[in-house]
Amino acid sequence: MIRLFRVSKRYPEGVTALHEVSLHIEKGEFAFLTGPSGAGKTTLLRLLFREERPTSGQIIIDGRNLIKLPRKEVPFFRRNIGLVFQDFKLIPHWTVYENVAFALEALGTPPREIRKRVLRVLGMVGLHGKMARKAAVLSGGEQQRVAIARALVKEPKILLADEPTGNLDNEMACRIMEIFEEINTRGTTIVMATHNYELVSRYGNRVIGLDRGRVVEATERVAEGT
Amino acid sequence: MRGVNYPYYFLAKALKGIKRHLFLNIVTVVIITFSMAIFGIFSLLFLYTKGVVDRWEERMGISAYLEEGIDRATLKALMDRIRAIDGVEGVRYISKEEAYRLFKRELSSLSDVVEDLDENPLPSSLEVRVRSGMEVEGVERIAREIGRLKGVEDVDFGGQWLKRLATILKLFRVSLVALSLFLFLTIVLIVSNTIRLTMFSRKDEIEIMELVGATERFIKMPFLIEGFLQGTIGAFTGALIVLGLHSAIFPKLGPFFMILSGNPSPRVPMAGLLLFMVLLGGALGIAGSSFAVKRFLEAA
Repeated sequence: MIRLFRVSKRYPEGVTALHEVSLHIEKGEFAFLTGPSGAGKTTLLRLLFREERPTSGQIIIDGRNLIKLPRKEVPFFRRNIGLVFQDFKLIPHWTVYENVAFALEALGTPPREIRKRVLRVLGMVGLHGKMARKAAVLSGGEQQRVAIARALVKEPKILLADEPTGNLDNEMACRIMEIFEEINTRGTTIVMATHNYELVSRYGNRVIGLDRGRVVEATERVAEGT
Repeated sequence: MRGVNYPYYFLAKALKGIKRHLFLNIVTVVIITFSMAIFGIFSLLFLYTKGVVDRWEERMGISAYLEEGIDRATLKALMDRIRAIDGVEGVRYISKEEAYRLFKRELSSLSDVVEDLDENPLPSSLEVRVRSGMEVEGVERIAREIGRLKGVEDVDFGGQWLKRLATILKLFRVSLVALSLFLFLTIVLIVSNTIRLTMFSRKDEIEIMELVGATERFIKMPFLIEGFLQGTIGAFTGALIVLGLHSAIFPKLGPFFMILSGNPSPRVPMAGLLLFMVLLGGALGIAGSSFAVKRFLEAA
């Protein structure tokens, strides 16, 4: 599903964010991207949703080579990718429903279909009863669940999450993880960047460790029950 | 999967944008209104001046004064040669006697002066009619050509001053173009600025749109519509001002036009001008907003 071949990213100021990273993430996998701040986690995710292009190397996602992807194809590529960020990226003066529905409006989905799908994902993240509330009045955990709902409502093949639990307390972080696990069991490939090692060890998923732009650790998913 | 009512969706977003920055939008529309009104008023002045000059040009003719004692054969040959010149529609011979009669009739107050003379001082002449609508330069060219012909003493096409007027008209046209360009640029810049502010205030929304996979067209459209509405509304009210001023002032100018061109109500394409103003306003609004959107998305 996701393949990287010797991907490097250097910025004009001379900073090397990633150095010859090669990776292969299978369809349906749930991988943690770990490492300290500045390890290159966010840069790697930004390359995966084509917010940036690598300086060298190749990135193949769902059969598409991102290096050769023309600019005007990028929106269509992103329709298969759900994105969740640490800072939620919600429109605070919009309601929960509007924030989620917006992702489908932008894709030209018919209103009836939008309503059906928004209600379904809001149910999934447990916010059915709060859909008329403004995003600004929700707690951090609730806001992140709205952001997840917005990412999921497009029914993406891949979910990329950048420190989704970074601003949340432990209890809320666990609730978010439960939702991710559930999405993953339905077949969505998930790549989640985090520096919360406790969370990583608790879930036993595949771990891709980054340090100063290089892959330093790559474990397979720990088998159930071991 | 298509189904969103896009025109309605985009219009609703554009109106929301206008509502959010209502004061700024009103200021923008007012500036467009005055810019377009100034453009309209100057265009009208130009059209009226051109109408008067055109009418004068239409009535322009050439008088070729003949040498004393020109014989019949030379006269006939001369008339044939003049008729052959491109742009000449007709030639009429006016004998010394006819010239005298005409002079007495048209300038009766001066007839005493002529009667006091021993002999008729007026020369025989040829009145040359040129193709209607011909510009002063064309008439002058024909006059010069006639002046070189054998048997012609002097030529007068009564257009030296008209030529000067045509030069002034040309200058007017150039000034109008320069003024229009300045006004249009002002409109484009003011719309562009307003749209840029609207876009800044919706920066997060635009970022999210890009992240969820909205196409550039989808992101741009509400802002382009907003610019189009500003331009069209501003130009429409500007056109109303021009129409109002024209209706109030024009009827009083009848005698003035009568003296100038012998026609109390020269026709100008008023409806065409007003329609052009409104369409132009819309186009300038789109141009301004496109400029802002392009710059904003490139910088994002």
